[in-house]
Amino acid sequence: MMRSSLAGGNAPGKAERDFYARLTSHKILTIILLSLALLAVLGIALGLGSANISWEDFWQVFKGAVSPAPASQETGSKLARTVIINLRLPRALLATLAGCSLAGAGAMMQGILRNPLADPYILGISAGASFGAALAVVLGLGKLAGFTLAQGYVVVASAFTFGLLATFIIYGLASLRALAPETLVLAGVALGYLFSAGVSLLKYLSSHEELRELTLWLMGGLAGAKWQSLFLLFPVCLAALAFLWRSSWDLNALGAGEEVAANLGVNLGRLRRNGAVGASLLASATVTFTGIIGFVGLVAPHLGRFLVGSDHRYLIPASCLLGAILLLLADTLARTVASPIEIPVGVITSLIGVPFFLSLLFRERRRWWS
Amino acid sequence: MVVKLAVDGLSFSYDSQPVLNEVTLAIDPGEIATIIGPNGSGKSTFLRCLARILLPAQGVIYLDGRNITNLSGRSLATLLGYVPQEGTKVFPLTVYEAVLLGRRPYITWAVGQKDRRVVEEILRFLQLEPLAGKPLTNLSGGEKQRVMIARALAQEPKILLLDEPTSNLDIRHQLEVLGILESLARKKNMTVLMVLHDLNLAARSSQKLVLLHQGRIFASGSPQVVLTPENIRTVYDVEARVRQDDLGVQVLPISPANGRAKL
Repeated sequence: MMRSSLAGGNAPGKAERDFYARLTSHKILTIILLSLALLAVLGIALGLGSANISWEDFWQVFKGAVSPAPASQETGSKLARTVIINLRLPRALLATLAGCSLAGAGAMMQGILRNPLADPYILGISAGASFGAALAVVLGLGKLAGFTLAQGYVVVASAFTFGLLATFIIYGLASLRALAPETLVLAGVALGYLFSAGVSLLKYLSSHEELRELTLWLMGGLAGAKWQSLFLLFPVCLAALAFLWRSSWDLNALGAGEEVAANLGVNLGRLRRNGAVGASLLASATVTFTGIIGFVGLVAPHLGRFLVGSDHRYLIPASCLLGAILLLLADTLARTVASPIEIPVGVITSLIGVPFFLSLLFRERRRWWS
Repeated sequence: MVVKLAVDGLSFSYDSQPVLNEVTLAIDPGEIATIIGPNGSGKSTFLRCLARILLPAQGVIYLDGRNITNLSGRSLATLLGYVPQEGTKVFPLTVYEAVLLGRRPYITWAVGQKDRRVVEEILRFLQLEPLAGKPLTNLSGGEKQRVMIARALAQEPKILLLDEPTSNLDIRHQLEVLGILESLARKKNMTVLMVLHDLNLAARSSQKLVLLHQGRIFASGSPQVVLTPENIRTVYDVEARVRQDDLGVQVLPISPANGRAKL
């Protein structure tokens, strides 16, 4: 008995097992390669910038940070160390985390709405969250820069509340009547305008100092990255992503249609509710620290689907890695292309994202909705 | 294990518009039964109630003597497989992955040896092996329908429900699909309940026909009993000639009854 099961059973069975093993090992390999690519891009992002730091100094700082020896004072110049550890590293990590979260939220929204055009930005969730965050700032409940941890959580909570509100309005519209994908996008855009108008009103009402802060933040930027914001964002995003990842099988089943999912024992109501809450939390928490960054949540899951297919067990991690790589590259470009002037990262992601979105809307239309 | 399907006094309405009215029915294990009836007679609704996609206002559905409302989603999924009319696939999976979905009631996260063995057997049985790695969007209508059936079979159900499994197929593929269902009933003692529009295909493939009319069972029994010119006139409003030969009952529709719709 033991021997035969170890030997792999009969011959045709073995061939099929090999097929599935090949299928999955290809996906796992892709995810490993993406992780390595992310590390490489992180390295590049840390090495490049307006402060001129030689790669030798960079290597010294890196070695000093990695080795446990307390000889770090000697290794690398002090300036290089300060720039890399206190400025570039938190910024690069924030870009990684934000890219991950937006892509994860996008993959989830596309999955639960069964809509290839869904994304926290396009559906107005980011706009809703930004309104919530701005409201907290203008009401003096929290701050966007130089905040304490508690103040930070207040802003996140307010952003989350309004992001969730936007999600449930969109979800309500989607379930009220079977809306066509394009109609849902239009509703999202309209909702986005509504919340943007709300933000404009808040800007009009706010004091000079708040206004400056709000305007800079709304353009979408990672310049204000601090270790503090990372400590706040990291546990929230990690928990939400893990939570979403766990529902992969349910999302796969829903991909085959609502009736099929119901027959397979999926609790559709619970899946949608949890998905909406998780995706809104990811998008809102990110918006609080980075402002509105568009299209990462749309582009990354599509690239992911192209690379590893539609099984969410692999799609969600692949999308997260791609989102992180994309945002990190975009931010590095934003910092360096016109150095020392910085371009808002939202501008770069829109430059990549808008043509992609339009091509999805028109060229691929037939493939998805035939 | 054989499972008997019984329906007792099932009623259902959409927004106070009654669709099903006191439907009572029993189907034996290994039997192929087909629900027929004109558009809007409640055929698909009935099937969806059995699959617990819709919750009936009244009445009870029993699987092997157990009320299905008391079963968990997963255990119902292991007893009853449902194949809807062609579903929309927004993000296409490969054939293998689509069939693997049917193992979802048994899987928590990782795909086990048994899951792969079941999927591989079904792919071989439905001659889908060469297509295993293809995305669903690249398949023909007949191949897609076989994948949908394969997915339901991967649930290892005792009862298979199918909503118009032959729609959008040419006659060769229609016969192919019905042949698959016949061999499932015969070899695996599976109970098959489906909705069909084509009366001749229904008569050929089923031991039992259930004729629905305005949400009620108008007639049920063998094709010879159900498919009479009188029944067809009353329910479908159509004059038809019914013939009996070595292949069973054949229905030839002639014209709309009562001279209505004569243009």
